[in-house]
Amino acid sequence: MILLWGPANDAPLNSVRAALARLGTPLMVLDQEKGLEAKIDLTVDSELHGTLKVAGREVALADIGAVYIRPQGTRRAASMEVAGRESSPGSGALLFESTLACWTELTPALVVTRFSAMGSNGSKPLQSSLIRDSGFDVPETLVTTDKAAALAFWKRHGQVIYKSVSGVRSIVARLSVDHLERLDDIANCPTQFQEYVDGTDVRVHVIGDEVFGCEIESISDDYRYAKPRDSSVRLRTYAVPSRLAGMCCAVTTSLDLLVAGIDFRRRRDGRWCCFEVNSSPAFTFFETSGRQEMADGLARLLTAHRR
Amino acid sequence: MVVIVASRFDEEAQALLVRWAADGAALLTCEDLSTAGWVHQPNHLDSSMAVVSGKVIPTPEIAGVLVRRHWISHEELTYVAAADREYVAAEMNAFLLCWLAALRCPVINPSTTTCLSGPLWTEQQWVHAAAGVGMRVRSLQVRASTRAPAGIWRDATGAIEEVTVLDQNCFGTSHELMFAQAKLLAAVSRARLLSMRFIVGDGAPIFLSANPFPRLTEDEVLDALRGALLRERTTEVGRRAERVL
Repeated sequence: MILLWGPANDAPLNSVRAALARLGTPLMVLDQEKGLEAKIDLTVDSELHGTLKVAGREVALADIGAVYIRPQGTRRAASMEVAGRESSPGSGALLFESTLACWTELTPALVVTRFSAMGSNGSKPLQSSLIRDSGFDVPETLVTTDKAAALAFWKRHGQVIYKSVSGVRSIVARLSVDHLERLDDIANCPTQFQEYVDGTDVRVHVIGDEVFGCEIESISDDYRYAKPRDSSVRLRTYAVPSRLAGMCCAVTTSLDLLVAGIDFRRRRDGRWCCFEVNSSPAFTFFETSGRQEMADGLARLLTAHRR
Repeated sequence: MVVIVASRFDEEAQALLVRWAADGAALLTCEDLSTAGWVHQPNHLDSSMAVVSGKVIPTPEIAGVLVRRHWISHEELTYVAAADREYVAAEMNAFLLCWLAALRCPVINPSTTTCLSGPLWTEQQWVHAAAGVGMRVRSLQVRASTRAPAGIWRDATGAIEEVTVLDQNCFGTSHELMFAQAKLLAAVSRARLLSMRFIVGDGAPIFLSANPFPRLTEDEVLDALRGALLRERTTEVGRRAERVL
């Protein structure tokens, strides 16, 4: 049995669901969008016992061999804490979610991806340091509340970008003279600046021991937000060099992940600069072959662990 | 200088400032993160600057850091526009995670990617881990539904004894087995400072709960903590490795 947990309108979740169906793998979908009635009964001591019931269908937790999680953002951090115990339906829903999240942390089942392993995405500069420890080049970074330090960093690198420090998604933008008036505001909150890296964007997905590359052609600083300003974003399959592929698998493992979407820019001199390792990648955006290869890869990974 | 990362409302932190005044103890609050002067470049730690109790100081001057909070809550940022508080809190927490991980001095408890100080485990995770290191536990049962009231059940009656582990030292018990098991659980959770509660009576003690944020009131614990904070520096890579695991 494979458990899929997330909003059913999520593209990666749907894609994996379809791929599992093609393989004929038995699955249960816990749809966060529909708000179906779901129950969990979990007993913990030296072992884990219990059942999960979704829309009238009950399975033993021990029969779930693999889980694919694409959580709604709001519960990510909160679900890791024991919820309040007020006896109301609202607290019941919160406790349901935190209990299931807790089970995914403890179960020997294959989990893509445990919440605890998603944590490094919560601090971009921390993750960047971990990526650097794995042997990748990363952009020079400054986090500061000091205007003078930001200006000196800008002067040293010629072109710099700014983006959020946390996992909150923000549009990466280049610092320009238009920002000078607002630069005093960084005293209110640590702000992240990075050297601008010129080159071509490449996204590498690691799924188990499979590696998929995609080259992105875009004139935007952040291709994710290129539309509608830049309708010329083009994706094409990219054959990842074997050494880079090996390093991608290694950094994925070092971050306790089985699946990752790794953002690179290939500099004009051929050197690779790694920006981020996404622990729950929206890989469907990068399916360039038209054959759902990554969804099939993920379905194979999950199916190999079914019980 | 010993830095205590805490809320300005944390009374125990205020008491520690008095106790460790000779060590230059100072409080690092969320207000400090909204003060000009922070300069942090992960590749240039020796030139990093921090803001502690409103003063800009070179980060290498910090001898040790005690972290007394899970996260900075947006509710504490009353001086920030209401619409921006959640974002600012997320940014501050993300920055602190990075900054704490980069420090070469002792940090207690070391942060993890899900908490500024130590593991942010649920009761179920603590019970499972305690059983895993050989402690007697009582089963913890949780029943929850998305549309109904919920409950947690555990039979937990009896006299309770609390012990605190700091690195290899154990305080509050002379019970050999409890001492050994408490150290094991602290090691498994990677918490340098951890208190645990046990039900004691006939037979081996029964694990009840664990807390990486123990009350710091006992002299012997406080003296040991001061000693641990002022110990030698660790390596940068070694510290970061702890974050991932």
